[in-house]
Formats: sequence, structure tokens, C-alpha cells
Amino acid sequence: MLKRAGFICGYAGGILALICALLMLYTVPAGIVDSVVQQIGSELENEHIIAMGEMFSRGDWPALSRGAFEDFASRVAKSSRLPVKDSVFRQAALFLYRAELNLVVSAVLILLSIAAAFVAFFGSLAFYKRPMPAGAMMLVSALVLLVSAIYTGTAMPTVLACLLLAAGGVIAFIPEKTPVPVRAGFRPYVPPDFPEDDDFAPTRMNRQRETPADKIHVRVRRDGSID
Amino acid sequence: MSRGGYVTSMVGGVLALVFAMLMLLTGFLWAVGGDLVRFFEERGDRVGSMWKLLGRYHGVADFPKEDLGKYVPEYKEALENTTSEDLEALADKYDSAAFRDMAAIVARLEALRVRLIIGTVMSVLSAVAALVGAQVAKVRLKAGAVTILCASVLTLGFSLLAGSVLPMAAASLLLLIGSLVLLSGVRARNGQQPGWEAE
Repeated sequence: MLKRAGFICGYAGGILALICALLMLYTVPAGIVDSVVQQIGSELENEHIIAMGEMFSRGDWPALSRGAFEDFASRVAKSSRLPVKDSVFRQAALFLYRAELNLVVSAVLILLSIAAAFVAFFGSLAFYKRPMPAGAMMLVSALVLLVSAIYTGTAMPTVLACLLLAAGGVIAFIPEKTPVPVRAGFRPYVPPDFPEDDDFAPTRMNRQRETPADKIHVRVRRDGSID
Repeated sequence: MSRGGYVTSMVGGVLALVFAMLMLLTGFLWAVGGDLVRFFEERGDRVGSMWKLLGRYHGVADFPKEDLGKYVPEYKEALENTTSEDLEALADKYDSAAFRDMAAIVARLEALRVRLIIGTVMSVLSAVAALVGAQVAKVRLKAGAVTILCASVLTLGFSLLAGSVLPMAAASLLLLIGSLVLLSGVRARNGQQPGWEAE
């Protein structure tokens, strides 16, 4: 019964995890765009936008490192004819660097979440055959999903999937009930057998216990004989 | 239970779930992707002036004249409230083919939006039903097979409704094959010599 509940938790959690991880493909970019627009409104000035426009018009976009973006900003500032200070170009470049870094990290986390969701789902399928590896797969995937969901700000729908996966993973590690071994030097109690009682006719209750009605099977052939 | 039918149904169910979740993206691309690419190729140089005229239409001051902290939320609200009728009005006002093309694209998106959302949600539910049916088939073969068969038909139908049938058709086909293999297993089991199994 417990194993069955564990499988159902793991399977439902795996499906939910897949849905939540794939939902991140929409919610995370939308969240990033929203936060970048808010930051532009609160942190930047008009001249930063003009400097960004100048940087976007250049073909040689820098690699994803702080130093590369600072070098790029100083190069664009030197060659630009706009009446904008070098420090503004540098601040605009650092803003773009932070936005791009956030985008790349979020993309990696989305891919990790989708992979973890698949691992959890296939782990739940292996629940009955290999409970311990399946439990480990579900627990690790739940952790990865939770961390990436918290980082990307989409924890709310993912938490339920993580809870179900964690429940399935924990149940997978609970050992099944096994018969208690007999201690050395002791034997289990066996009722005594008195051969002299064998000749007595059994009572009605004993007769029913020995040959219950649903255990009697007869096969009747067409010629009327009974096997 | 047929192992082949179970595996095919599971693969079909997982693919159906993935394609259903991606349907918002694929439906959008199938509907207006080509038109958007063509618009930016042919009228990409007009986007700046369109941006400015759209802002003026909604009463937002031009970019450098206003503080960015005020300009960004005002323009964001203007963009969110823009409909195809607004773009048609702008096209008539300035006699602009670029605004008219954009109005046609936005009108197509507006017509698709409700169908796309309903189709996506129902396809996800159908895919989940297929995955549940594959597990049910282990215990109740006929019930599971019928569930998967219904799910394959529903995923195909709702992907047609959402206008994104091509990736989902593969998943629906796998579900159909899986359900038919499972149903043939049911028929083979029912076709055994009667009278012997009950004993």
C-alpha cells in the first residue's frame, strides 16, 4: 500500500515537474523582460539609452565577461561623436552585461530543470523494480527543480511538484516489512501434534477450515465423469 | 499486457505533453512567424518612426523629452492597450502600409489567442490522461487502452484547434499505435479457449 502511494506520488510529481519545467520557457523570459524594463525605468537615464543605441549599432558584440564589456564601452565611447560621458557608456555596458548574464544563467537553469523533470519522471517509472535508485533520482531532481525555480522566481507552481517528488523519493527508501529473524538458541512455537487424535472425526468448524467451499475445484467432462 | 504497446503509449504521452506545452510557441510561429519575419525584412527601417507615432497616438511624450522613469511605464501601458483597430486607425491617419501590415498581424493574433489558450490547456490535459491511461493499462488493460485512444484523438483535435498540428501529429500517432496494440492484446486475451481460465 505504501509502495503504491509512493509510486503515485512520484509519477504525479514527475508529470507536474515536466509541466512546470516546460512552463518556465514562458514565465522566465517574460519575468526577465519585465524586470529589465522596470530597471530601465528606475536605474537608467535618457543618455544611457542613447549610449546603448550606439553600442547596439556596432557589430563587434563582446563576450560574456565584465572586463570585455568595459573594454567594449571604452572603445565605443572613444569613437562616438555623441555628447555622452565615458562613465555613462561604462554604466550602460555594465547594465547590458548584467542583463545578458541573467539571461544566460536562466537559460541554463531552464534546461537543467527540464532535464531534472525527465530524470524524475523516468525515476518514478523504475519505482517498483529499483526503488532506491528511483528514490535518489526523484529526490535529486526535486532539489534541482526547487533551486532553479527559486532562482528564476517561479517557485509557486513548482513547489507542489517538488513536494510530491520528495514524498515519492522518501517512500522509496522506506524498507518493506520482513519477517523478524529468530534469535539464536530459540525456536518459534509449534503446537504439539498428538497422533492419537487423528482418528477422531473433525468438528463441523474444523471441516470448513480444512476444505473451504471456494477451494473445491472439479472439472466435469462431457461423458459425466469427474476429474 | 503488451510491452510494445505500453512503451509506445508512454513515449507518445511524454511527447504529447512536451508538444502541448510548446504549443503556445509553435502556434504563434505557425500563425504569424513568417509574416513577422517578412515585416522586419521589408519594413524594419520604419520601426523607429512607428514607435514614435504609436506613442503620440496614446498621448505619450517623445523619448528624449521626458524622464525615463515616467516614459517607460507610460509606453508599456500604451503597448499593452494597443489593438489592431488602433493600428488600422494609425494606418488610415498616416496612410502607412507598415501600420496596415502590423494591424493585419495583430488582428490574426487576436483571433488566434483564445483558441490557442484553450487548445493548449486541453492538449496538456489530454496528454496527462494518456500518461495516466498507460499506467492504468497495467491493471485494467481495456480501460487504459481506451483512455489512450481517446487521448490521441483529443490531442490531435485540440492541436488542430490551436493551429499547431504538425509536431503534435507525431505524438498522436504514437498514442494511436500504442492503444491499438494494447486493444489487440485485449482481443487476443478474450479469444482464448473458454471454460479453462475460470478454473
